[in-house]
Amino acid sequence: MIRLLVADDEDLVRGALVALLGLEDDLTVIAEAATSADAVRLTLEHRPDIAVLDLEMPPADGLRAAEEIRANSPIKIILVTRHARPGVLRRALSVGVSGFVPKTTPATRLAEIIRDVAAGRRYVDPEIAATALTEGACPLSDRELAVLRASRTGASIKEIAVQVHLAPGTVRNYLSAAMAKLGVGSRHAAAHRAWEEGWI
Amino acid sequence: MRDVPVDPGAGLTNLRRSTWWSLIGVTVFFLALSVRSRIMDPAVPVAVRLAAVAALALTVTAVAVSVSRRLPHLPHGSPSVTTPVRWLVAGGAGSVMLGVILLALQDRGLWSFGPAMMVAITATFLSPRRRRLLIVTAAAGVAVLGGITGRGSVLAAAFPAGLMILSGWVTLGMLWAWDVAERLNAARRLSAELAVKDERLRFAAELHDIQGHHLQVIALKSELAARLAEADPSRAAAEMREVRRLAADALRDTRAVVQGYRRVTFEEEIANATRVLTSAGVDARTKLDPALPPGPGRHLLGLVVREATTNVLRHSHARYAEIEYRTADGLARLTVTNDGVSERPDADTGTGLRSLAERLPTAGGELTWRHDGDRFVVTARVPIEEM
Repeated sequence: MIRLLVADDEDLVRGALVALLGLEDDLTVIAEAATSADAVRLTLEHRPDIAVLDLEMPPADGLRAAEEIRANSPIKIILVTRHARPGVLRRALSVGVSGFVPKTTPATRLAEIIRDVAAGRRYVDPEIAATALTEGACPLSDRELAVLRASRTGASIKEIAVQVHLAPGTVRNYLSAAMAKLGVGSRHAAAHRAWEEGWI
Repeated sequence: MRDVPVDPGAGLTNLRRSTWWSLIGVTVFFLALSVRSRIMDPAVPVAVRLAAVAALALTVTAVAVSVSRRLPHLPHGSPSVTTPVRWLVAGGAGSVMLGVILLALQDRGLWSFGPAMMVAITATFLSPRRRRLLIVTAAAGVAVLGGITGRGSVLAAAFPAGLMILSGWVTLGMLWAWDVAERLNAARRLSAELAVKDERLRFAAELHDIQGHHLQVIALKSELAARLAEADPSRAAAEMREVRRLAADALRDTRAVVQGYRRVTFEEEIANATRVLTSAGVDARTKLDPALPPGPGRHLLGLVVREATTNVLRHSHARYAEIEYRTADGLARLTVTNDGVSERPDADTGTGLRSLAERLPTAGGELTWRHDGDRFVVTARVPIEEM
């Protein structure tokens, strides 16, 4: 029996997925989560064999949740996404995600992929892999990316500074450097572009 | 998907800097030249010399600040140039004082240069008609003043007037060039924005075509399934499976539209493949000859890179992968090698490579793959003239 945790912020999608996976004889869903924070907490608490995480999930995202889970345990992770942005696959693989599939995958196929992953194999959807090859070269440094990530919530400079443990002046410098590198006029535009490319 | 193409305005930034330094340089040089001998002259009272230095400093500062205001920083400043009235007045006062001191010390040459520069710079903030009026009036003024102090000498009247007109001409000329360059840049930016807007319209129309059609069929089929649910459950289930398939198609087509929107070069694609493989713990290497201009063959090779990369990621336990791209003897050759031979050949892997193998001959090329010991090697060849 393969024990699963399913995390998705959309109740209808999660409900349907849990019901469909539950129809498989060798799969059992032992926990559900609606936020990335809950996903991390419940995964570490219940220790499923595989965590199936939605990529687009508040407050952080599925990838950050995967990062935290993998940092604390060897639990295998499958990410599910509606629309794969170019840079995401690379980042997902580097935190040790085992599977990456689009939401359009039929539940029966997902079940097969889950079995594959449980058997120690890796599965990457071909279209997601193709998207990953269209990534633009990222001109931003790690610090700039961290600051842009924090700014995506619409936080003020002061709030970003607290979040990333830097002085507000330094944050401002990183933001304007990022804006200049991306050739955009505002920090929101810079953050949006970095997100679109899957860099954050 | 950028909003507007990147335009750091590097050329304009340099033009701005050069205009600024030229104007300030000329002003400082000639003003210093005009007062140098008087300031150094021990016969001139110390108070007068100090006043001359102060007037000089004030004029130069006012010129520097006013010119800075007149040349807005890019890319934000363009339309809103504010007239720095106070600085112009202060500079005017300083330059007049300088001129008066020089006149009083019997200078017959460059005394009008300070006022001339201030007049010229003030003129750049005015409308063309007022500019001319200001410069002509000022030239007449210094001519009269020069004539009177020069006891009727024609040269003493004509030189300051000429200097006034020349300074105005040169200064206005430089700023005119700047204004034209800036307007051209704005026009270029506008046309770039327009291109983006056009592209968005096209994109929206395409998206609507795809979604509209699919959604219509999905709505219809769902309705049918709902009505069949009780009467004929098995047909209802069949309809719903059809709905699922349609929805998946709609999503895939939408993604295709979005992907068609992104363009990366062949080199970028190979670099990305290497990075993705590396992040998956594969020791990935590339050997590249310079790539060729885009064409149908190049597109097919791009597809081969994708397919081969995907296969390495999905099916093998590869530790090592190599992407090699070589051009020789009129052939572009792409080889993707990995050491993790697929343990159970999956149906859809084959399909991917097999369908590509059918497509490559249309560009005069061929696609082959083989097992070589523990290695799996995919090789694509396309004649260069097809690239």
